[in-house]
Amino acid sequence: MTDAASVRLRLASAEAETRRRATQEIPSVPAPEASELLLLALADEDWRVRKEAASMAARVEPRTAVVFAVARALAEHENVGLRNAAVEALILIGPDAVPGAIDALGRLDADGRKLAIEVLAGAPTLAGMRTLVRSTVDPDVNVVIAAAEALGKAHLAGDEAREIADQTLAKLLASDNLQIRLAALASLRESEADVPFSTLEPLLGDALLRRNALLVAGGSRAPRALLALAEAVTDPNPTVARDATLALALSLEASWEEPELVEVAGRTLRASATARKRLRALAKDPDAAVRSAAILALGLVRDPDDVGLLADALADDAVATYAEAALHLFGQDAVEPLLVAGRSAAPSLRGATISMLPQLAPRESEPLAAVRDALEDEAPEVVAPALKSLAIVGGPSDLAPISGHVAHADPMVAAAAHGALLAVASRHASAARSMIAGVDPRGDLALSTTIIIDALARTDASEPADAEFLSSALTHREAAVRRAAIDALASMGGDDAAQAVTFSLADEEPIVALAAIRALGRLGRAEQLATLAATTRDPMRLATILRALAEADPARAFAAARPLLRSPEASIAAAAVDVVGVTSTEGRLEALLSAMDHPDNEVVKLALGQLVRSEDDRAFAAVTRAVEHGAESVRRYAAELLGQEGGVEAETILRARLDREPSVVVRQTIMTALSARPSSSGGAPT
Amino acid sequence: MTRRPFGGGRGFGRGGPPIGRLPPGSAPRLSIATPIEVQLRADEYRMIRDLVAERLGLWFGQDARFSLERRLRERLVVRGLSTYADYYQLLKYSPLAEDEWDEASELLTTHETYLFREDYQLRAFKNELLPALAEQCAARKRLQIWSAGCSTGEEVYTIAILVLESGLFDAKDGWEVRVYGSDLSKRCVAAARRGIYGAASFRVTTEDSRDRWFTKVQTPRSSLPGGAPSLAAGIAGGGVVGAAATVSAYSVAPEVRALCHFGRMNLLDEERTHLVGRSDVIFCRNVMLYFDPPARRRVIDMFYERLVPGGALLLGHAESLLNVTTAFELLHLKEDLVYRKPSSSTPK
Repeated sequence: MTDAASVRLRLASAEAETRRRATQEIPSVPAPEASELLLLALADEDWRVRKEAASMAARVEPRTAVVFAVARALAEHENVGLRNAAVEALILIGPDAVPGAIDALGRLDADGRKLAIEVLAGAPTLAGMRTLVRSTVDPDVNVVIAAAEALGKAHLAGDEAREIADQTLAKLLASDNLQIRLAALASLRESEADVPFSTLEPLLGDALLRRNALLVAGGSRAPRALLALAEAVTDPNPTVARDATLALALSLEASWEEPELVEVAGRTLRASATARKRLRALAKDPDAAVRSAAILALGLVRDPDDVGLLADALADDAVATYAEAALHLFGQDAVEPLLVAGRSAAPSLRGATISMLPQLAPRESEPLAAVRDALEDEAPEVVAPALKSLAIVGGPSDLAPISGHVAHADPMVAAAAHGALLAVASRHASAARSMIAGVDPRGDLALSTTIIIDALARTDASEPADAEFLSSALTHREAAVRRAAIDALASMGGDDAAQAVTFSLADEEPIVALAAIRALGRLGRAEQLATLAATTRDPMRLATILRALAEADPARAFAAARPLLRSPEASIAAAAVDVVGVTSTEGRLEALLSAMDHPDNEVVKLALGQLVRSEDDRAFAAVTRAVEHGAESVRRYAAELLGQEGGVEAETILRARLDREPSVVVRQTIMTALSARPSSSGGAPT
Repeated sequence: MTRRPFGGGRGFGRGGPPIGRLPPGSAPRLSIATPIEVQLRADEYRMIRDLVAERLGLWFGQDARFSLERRLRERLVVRGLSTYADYYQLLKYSPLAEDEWDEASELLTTHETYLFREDYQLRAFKNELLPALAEQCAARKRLQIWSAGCSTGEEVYTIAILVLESGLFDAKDGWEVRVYGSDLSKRCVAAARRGIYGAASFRVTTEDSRDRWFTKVQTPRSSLPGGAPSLAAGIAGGGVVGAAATVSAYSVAPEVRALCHFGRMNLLDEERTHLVGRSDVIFCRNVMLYFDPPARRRVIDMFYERLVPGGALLLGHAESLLNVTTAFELLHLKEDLVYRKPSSSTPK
């Protein structure tokens, strides 16, 4: 316990830094002085001291006394700093502060009531939202506006709160007061309420309400909404046009499977030069959401001049999905401009265009020649996508050029060539077979030949000589060849293949040894793998062995992994969790539950990650318990999983935890999880 | 009794459309995937994401799964791994983990920067902070500035140029100036030490300044940071440079280089950050926004500890210490607000 007198003395210091440091000690001062000192610090003249005091408030006990003491400060008129710090402190205290704010609401003047409303919005609860609904009939119009704004947080307080808030806000749209209508719209937008477009349409004519009305309409599948949003892209006010574009994109996504609805917007945009100009500018906006929206809309316009801009966006992770969708709307019309642009652009962009061509052009068409030409490019970023494209559309004539890249120095190119050769050789077995006649298994062509033999084995087109070739290839100087030979032997199957692969378990290259382990799994060598599992301690190797064993004999893998779940070595337990998690053996759930009290938090998190795949109530209960776990990282992880679950029960648990959770980080995760929950009312507005 | 699987029916898919309230993956994902490309499962994503946050402080949000998958895919290929769970094991438990973190951090960090970036802040630094520092440091005649997260070095050289242009810290008068740049990426630090930049790094630099502090050289295109032409530019005007072997570039003048030092550093590695010594100014611009809240807090506490009393912390224009710490004062300059460690503070 800290001496209250000492803290009081330092809080009176002329030096702000001394007062700030004294404030940090207030939580360890015994009651009732702690409350009094907290109020002193909240009233300090220096903002840093006030801010520090607000952040300490949640740690000062007894909490109820603190809440009511701080709530009294909402009535303060002279010291604005104290008033604002009190609001911040109450919000940081969270749901426990709500009764104090509700109580104060009945005693405060209009200015104070607005502050209490701010607290109720900052610590959203059902009781708080009910109080806010009552405040929408307050005699003071500014309080009503504040209450309408605060109701925008109702979605954080559960479905019931959201429902009563949305109903109240919808009624407020009919208010005579423009500011109230504006606040109600902004809140409906924030809570992502589904408001019938017929309710919003009359508001679009009001210059002040238009922007928010458009945003609330975003996501609507009503044809009139799509039309209105597309038209609003040309709004003379650039901010309105920007928001209309965002809203339009939401509606387009909601209508994506209904071409006639999408075309409603498409026709409107194509008819307007202003709309196209606006969308092109917005497609370069710094905000990724705006860029995505504009890019999607430009796809509807289908102007070949925009292809370069859309292709640029393919290289941007944040918007690439939309660029692909937009280019698809162009179809074959995008091919020629893509080819022109691709000749001179940076490698990553050339690669992006190459990867799009097979999706846009018909097979064996002229543009696919560009994909083949790209194999000669010196940039790996171009060659790898070209190889991936050929994996899908390549023919017999592509086998040789693809083979030339399997030993490429760039690992991504080599991997892409490997995949492409496997795919094309599987489709054109006879052409592939004719390519490999007479190849030396120790020579430079051994890798491509091995891959082709693998492809032929996968299509049941093996020949007796293939096994002999692969056995020789297992001693090749290049690890990549040895690894490919192991994969091919696994595809061929049989005891001889297993015997040959076994020698590679001792290969000095980890990639070869791991491939050999996986091959034994494919070959069904459960006994051998179980023996390996009992003697291996390297976690990555053990995980690979157990996973291979799971492929050969799931029950045996489970039996081998289960005792390891309790291994004091976290790495071993983690490997075991990974394998037990992917099996469907009886007892899986109980086994994973037994890992929940492992001393290593990472093991617990891994177990949670596997448990959430289960449909059993016991798994849900385990995740629920993990929200109370001693480690912050586990609580945060569990909260995220519950948020993903999205059910009413999960929401209740998260809300209950939010009231007690001491960690700011976990609280934020819970708030994010709650705010991301979809409305249970569902359904698109019409 | 059974319940539906977690996330069932929510439609969370690959990629992350950032538009408003839409769930990620609502737009059709059309990328071609070859049969051997491994995909990052949601549970694997969370574990690797948390590991990256703990080790590097970098935070990948809920929409970043596809980005993380794409960035790390190469490492699975190189290591011959068949799942991202294996890669997690490698990073977390393998004896090879240290080496692998070096490679992973190269792929996970963002390196975009240029000379004289955020000029209003640099003007405030040159016109207001440097004169104040000349007075504060007059007794010891030593000035140390740290650029934390310096990427390919442009910020470090910019700071050194501003110090030289101020004329307040002349070595002939006994001043010792050190501008230290640190970055997580080994390749970035190597590029910073080379100090040779292409056109993209000079996008806001005046010709006068460039000609005064840099020398024209020929260098392989591949050795330059940034500067890739776009497809839109290709369509609009043609004339985009191809993959030429060498290009014209600019090398930092020796007098600027003489002030600058570089080192590789993870800002969460206390042992390493203590080696920097006390700084008068710390620049950490557009770095914290990639950190998760706990890492942000740890790094800010470390900066506080590494600054001399009265020392200044300059963050990027979109970054602040709001809700991170109250330990710094706000210093109102004519063109900017910067954070200052209180002069009366004592080391923690």
